[in-house]
Amino acid sequence: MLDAAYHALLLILEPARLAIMFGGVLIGLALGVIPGLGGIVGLALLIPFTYHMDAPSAFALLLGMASVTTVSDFIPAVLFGVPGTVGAAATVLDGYPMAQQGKAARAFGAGYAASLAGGIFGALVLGLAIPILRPLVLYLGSAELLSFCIFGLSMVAVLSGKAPMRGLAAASLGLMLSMVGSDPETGTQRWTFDTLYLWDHLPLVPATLGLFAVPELAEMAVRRNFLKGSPSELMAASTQWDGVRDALKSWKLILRCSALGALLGAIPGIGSAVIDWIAYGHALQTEKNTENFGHGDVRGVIAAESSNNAKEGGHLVPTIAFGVPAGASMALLLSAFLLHGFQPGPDMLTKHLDVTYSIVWTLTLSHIMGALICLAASGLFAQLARIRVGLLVPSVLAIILLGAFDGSQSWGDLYSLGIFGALGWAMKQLGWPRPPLILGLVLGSLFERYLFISTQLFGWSALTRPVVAVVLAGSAFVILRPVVSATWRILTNRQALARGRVEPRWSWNAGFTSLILAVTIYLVWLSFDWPDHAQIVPLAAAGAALLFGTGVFLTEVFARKRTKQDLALELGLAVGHGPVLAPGEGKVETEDALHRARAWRFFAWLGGTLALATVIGVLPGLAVAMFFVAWRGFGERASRAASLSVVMSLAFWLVFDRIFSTPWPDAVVGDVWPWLRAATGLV
Amino acid sequence: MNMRTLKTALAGLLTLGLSGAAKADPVSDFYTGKTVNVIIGYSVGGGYDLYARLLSRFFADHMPGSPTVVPQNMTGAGSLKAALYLASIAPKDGATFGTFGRSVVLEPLFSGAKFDPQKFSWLGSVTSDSSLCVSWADSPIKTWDDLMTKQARMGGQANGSDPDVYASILKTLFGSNLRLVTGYPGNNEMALALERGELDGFCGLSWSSLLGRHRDWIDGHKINILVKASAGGDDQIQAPQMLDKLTDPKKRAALSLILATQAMARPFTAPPGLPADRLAALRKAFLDTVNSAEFRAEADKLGLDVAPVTAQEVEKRLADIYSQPPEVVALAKQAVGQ
Repeated sequence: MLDAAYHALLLILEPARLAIMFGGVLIGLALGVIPGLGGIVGLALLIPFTYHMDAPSAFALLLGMASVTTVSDFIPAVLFGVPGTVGAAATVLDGYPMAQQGKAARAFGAGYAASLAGGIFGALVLGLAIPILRPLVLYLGSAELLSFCIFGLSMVAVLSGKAPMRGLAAASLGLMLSMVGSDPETGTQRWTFDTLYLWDHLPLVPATLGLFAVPELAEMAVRRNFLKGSPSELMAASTQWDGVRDALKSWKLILRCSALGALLGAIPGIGSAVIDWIAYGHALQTEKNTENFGHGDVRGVIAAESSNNAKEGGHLVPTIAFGVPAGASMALLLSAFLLHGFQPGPDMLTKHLDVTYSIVWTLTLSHIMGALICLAASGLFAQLARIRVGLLVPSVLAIILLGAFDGSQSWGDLYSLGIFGALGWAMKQLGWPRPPLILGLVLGSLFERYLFISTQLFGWSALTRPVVAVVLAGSAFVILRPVVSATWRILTNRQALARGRVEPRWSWNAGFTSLILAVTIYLVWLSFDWPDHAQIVPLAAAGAALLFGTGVFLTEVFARKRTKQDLALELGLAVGHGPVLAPGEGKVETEDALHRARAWRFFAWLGGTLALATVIGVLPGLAVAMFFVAWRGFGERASRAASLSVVMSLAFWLVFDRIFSTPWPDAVVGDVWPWLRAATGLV
Repeated sequence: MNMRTLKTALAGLLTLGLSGAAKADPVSDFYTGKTVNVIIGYSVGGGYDLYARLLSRFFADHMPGSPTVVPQNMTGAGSLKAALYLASIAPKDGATFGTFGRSVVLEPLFSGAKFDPQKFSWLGSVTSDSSLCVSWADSPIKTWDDLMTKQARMGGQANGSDPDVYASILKTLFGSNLRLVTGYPGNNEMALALERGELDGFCGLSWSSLLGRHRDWIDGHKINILVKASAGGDDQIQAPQMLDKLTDPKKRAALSLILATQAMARPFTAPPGLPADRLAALRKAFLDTVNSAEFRAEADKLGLDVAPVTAQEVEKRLADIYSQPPEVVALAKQAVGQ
């Protein structure tokens, strides 16, 4: 075994392969920085180029690329509050406030160190587990997979912060949304509204970008400034070494979160979109003095980044040992294995052990390369802070739209982004925690799948399986603590109600809650003619949504009037950095009105861009929108706005049309003038 | 101008036109410098994708005008999205063709999908295929008779997917006693469940994926092949033929309808209404490509089966399918569980 490991190291250290890996790392870092793009896009792009490479070189390129997208996705998360991939959403929570406090350098240092440690941990787990890989995976049957889904869902309780009722309502809503699409058991089209787009379930990229990136961007457009100070100030308040030292100090947390990341990564279906949140929840529950979490606590960054980078090693466990892809990126990687004549399974652990070890080394080396490149280039990235908000917002908005569009390359992705964006904005403003929604959305359909398989195969006896029992007990512990305290608070509120000290009040939040309730009731009504088996989980989720939604509604309408301080406290964890309280009430009034007008205008731009795109095509629509938003929306000079639009559009065209050969959806002008479609292929 | 000069002038013009046509080939002119898009209804890395990318690599060498051939993945609704795109949206100029799942051509019959497979400009299929029911070697289900009489736990993925469709056929047309446990994400997950002992076996495994992706199952004697289902031409597979086990003529007609799609297992088609000369060029290039030595060598390396099916054969199969009486269609629809 050691021989094979050593031989594999020599293979990988050959200069030509190292150069290929370096190329892969650079591509991966670039893809990670661009919101919406990540390993999946990169693999689809690069696999055809590996046809003629030898296997270790091919894996050096592919894994070198795929494993570092979660290192660089951190950069836009910290600087703009926009996660670079679905895996960096939890990083925004503490990373972005740190940047706003001028501690961007410290966040960078801690993030890269945690990424590096997590990545190496994941590789180590894979390398050491090789002899026991197959028995390990064989031991985890459908019932065990179900219990891991439940454990993931239980984190809702922790991630809801001080708004448990809203968290549970959001999670139920997420569960319901995960049921959209073709039902695996009966083939019923659930809530698809006769569209092909919704057949394959809601794609994650538009949902994540909508929930986490659009609201931050809207905030930026509303406040008209995104970071305080110049790049030098941004980096001066602290150094990257401070961050690295923070990471070293939290080595225990890194170990725990990396272990969690590697373990959950090995469970098929539990991908990076939730692993960071689960690790964040774990940090919240186990660390001391957590009151600063969500306001720029470096440990939040460390937990999210280490878990997400350890995930890759875990992901490879079932892929190599059984050919069962643990996620979408692994399904692509699997095809690369087959292309190069490797049959995942026992052979990889005996005959082709050197290839397996070359994968382990690639994971390790590419993480080291990625982290070093990022550490060295941080100063450069901080220059991005120099860009004026009037140029930044239109560009990032266009990038997010294209990133979302890459989800399944149809109009539906753009509409999803818009709808989830509005939902995310409303939730952020009204103090609804967003992580539970994404947990429900990712884990819901997985939960249903394994619930049905386990009940068909084992019935109740599933509960007697040791792993299931332990994991479920752990989940119960996670849930019960906050639920008990929440129930207590509701009860005390009801006492207040009984004493008649409150008057019913209407508020934005009550309106939002009623909207959620109305949508839920409508969806329930639509589900009446489904077969029984297709109804069970969606209706259970809807029931929970109605129950918790009504609870939120009642406490909102009847609770004692809260002060601004209360509100800020409540928003604390749920929204990260809540609204900043300006001194002087009168000023707040006018500022509020101005901000509200700007927020409406931002969403009008978003809607307008989508409408324009349907008429003149995605790329031309974005070109016009970028110009218009920069020029009219932010008062940039027309010439400057035009150059921005031309340069960005050209870059988009090169990347998406020439390199990715994206099939652009049909626009109205292409229907009217087919020659235009034939000539450009864009409309 | 009298009649004779007019005639002479016309004749002259005609000759000029004809000689011009003989010199410049309009098909070659059209494809010179053009980009031909190959729409793939599945994501990168699957069987359909491998076949399409392999074809795309060598296709230009056999096309007049040597266009640039670019594969594009358009996933959605089990490749129905790509089929609908080709049927109604894609440009009908011969610069776009594509591939989708073999059973998608039955969707208009079974689920009322709105397109007519007979109107497509078919190029042909790279190969025909066979669908198998397999069990794990140490399962008590070892033969066709076991599958009929014992309560075999067979895996499924989703209503309408191959494993569920063939399990449903066994239950409806053959009265098998099997128990379908559905919901597994894919073949590999089901294989893992077999190894773990959660399941006895599963159906709908195509011979070509067995060869290309699970060679070790055959070489290592890990599975029993319980039955094969195809439209013929698979004598190399040692297993009873499903159709031979049926005697009732109506049931046989229904099963034949479903199995006809196995004869066009990796289908390629251009949109309906193509100019005839361009379609002829595409068809010729398709056959020339899949019969070329370099294509065969590369396919061999990837473990891909190649047994070309011509466009005419595909059209004949479709005409057969779409001329079945309604009661046969209804029975077939019931058999696949829709």
